[in-house]
Amino acid sequence: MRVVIAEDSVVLRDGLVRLLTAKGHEIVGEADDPAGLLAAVNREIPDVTVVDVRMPPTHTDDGLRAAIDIRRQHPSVAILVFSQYIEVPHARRLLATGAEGIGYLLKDRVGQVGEFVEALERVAAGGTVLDPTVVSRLMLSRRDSQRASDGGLGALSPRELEVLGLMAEGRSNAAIASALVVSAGAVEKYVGSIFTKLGLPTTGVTNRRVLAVLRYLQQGRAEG
Amino acid sequence: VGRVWLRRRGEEALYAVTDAPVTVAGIVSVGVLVISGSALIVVLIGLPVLAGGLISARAFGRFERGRSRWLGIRVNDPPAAPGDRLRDALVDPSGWRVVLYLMAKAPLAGATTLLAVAGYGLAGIGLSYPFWFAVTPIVFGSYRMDTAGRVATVALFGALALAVTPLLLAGPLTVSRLAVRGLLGPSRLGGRVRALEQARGQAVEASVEALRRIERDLHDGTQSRLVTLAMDLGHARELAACVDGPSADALRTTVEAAHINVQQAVAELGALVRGIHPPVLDEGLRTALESLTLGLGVPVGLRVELPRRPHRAVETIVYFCVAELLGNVVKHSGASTAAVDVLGDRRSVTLRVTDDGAGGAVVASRAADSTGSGLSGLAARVSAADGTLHVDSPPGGPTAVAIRLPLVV
Repeated sequence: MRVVIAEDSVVLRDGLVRLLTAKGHEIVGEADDPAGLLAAVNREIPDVTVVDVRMPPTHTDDGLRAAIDIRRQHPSVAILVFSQYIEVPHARRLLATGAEGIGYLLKDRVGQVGEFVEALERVAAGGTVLDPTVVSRLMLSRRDSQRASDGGLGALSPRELEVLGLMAEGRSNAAIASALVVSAGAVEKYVGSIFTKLGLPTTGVTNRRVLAVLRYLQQGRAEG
Repeated sequence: VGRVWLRRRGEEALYAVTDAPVTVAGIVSVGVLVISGSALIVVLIGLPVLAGGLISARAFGRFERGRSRWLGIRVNDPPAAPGDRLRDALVDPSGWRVVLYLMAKAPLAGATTLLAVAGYGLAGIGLSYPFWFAVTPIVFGSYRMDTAGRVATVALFGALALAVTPLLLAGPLTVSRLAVRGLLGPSRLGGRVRALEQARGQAVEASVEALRRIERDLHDGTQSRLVTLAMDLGHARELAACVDGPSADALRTTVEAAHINVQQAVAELGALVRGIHPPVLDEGLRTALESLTLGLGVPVGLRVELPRRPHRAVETIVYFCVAELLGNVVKHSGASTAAVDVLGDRRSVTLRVTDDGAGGAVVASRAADSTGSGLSGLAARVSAADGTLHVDSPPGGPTAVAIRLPLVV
């Protein structure tokens, strides 16, 4: 993969370059602020960018804004946003631009090197990766609120909601099956039933898993 | 030095000449309302009229403090009225002190302006006389002032008037200075209170700013290094899995332990730093509270209506109050829902956290709650920022905690 990295901490940026290079990826650009990131993306059109939320100049959500800009200008460039803290409002703003080729992870996850690189590859391939914290927090507020009567999600059984949550984390059917300790066939049944209950088209080019996840997150928006 | 002296005298002359017209305008605008309001006080309309008079008195006081620049003095504003209601205007001492000021100034301003107009008027006539004596000479009885010597005498007299008038004005202007300082500025107690308030506000702000700086430094330095360390050790752990040799097992065990420890450190430091100053607060209270209330385990309705953004230190205090109160809701109340309302007006922000739980929350005294945690710690934090905390939590619930803070510490 051709990767652009935007991270204002030199230590961490060098570390990421070291790791991804060792894993056989090509770092085609490095930036320490949104302007540098946008320039590098415009120049290289990489497969994927890794973007820190907190960067100069304001040290608040500059990286997130840059990511949203990239999404608008270059929909083909996958984006993995990572952050010291998971803020659900940030996840929603990011996903409002679409969920294909989008990732949102806690910075701590880079410690799990294998999973991190795998997540990056999944995002680059057009998948959606959400930090488990985002999913569990959205899940928690939904389950307790007992207000899931609209938008089709209310029709889902607790088990189906759980499967949908795992889908939002970007897991495959096989991974969901092992997480829930059920057979792959059972997961397929749940997934099919989720699609039906959410009224998602049975055919078409758009990734139905992504649509389901989007529905899930948009519902969270309406409640928040 | 000469230029400064001239400018001072010029400004004083300006003050003296305008003194009577301004005071008359003040008496008309303030006095009429105050006197008619007091007279009408037996019928109910008197009170609002009187309040209107006192409000316009405050405005007049502000104008006079501005004009006192010409006296070469600078007077601080008295403390703001306690509120916007009618009653606040009636009990506001600053307004009544302006009324006193007007009473003192009524005779004084007349004398000041008369003196200034007469003195500087004579000086003007005398000094310009050489240029117009030929057109309309002054006649004193049988003296026509048109010879060179007489013209010079008149001009000299004008110069004398110009020199003496500032000296004559010095007395009345000094009295005016005393009146402005004594009646239009903050009272001595008020000044002391103001100084203490400022010091307290600065202390609160400084501590919040210090915490922000610590958070920023940790984020830019230690946290980044630890995350990178965790990443490198994770990578090393992967690589060690493929190593052969006599100490390969020991290497794997050591690297694994180091990796687990550093990840733990990253998580612990993250939680600690978030307790010091959550970075999301820099994006405003609404985003920060949204992030806080989502996924707590108890659904929380959030309403934030702030026409003006509070001071950063106030935002921080509100945030930690909400965090603490919602923590109590989740831990102790057994509530099934909670609500957070943050409403602002021009001066203050009001925070209400309500839940439908078991109630019975009390603000323990400091002695009983030696750790200073919980509601009593919260009360201390709120009062440090000049705020108030009110708890309504009957046994059996529901619980409502209301906190009011000024927009600026």
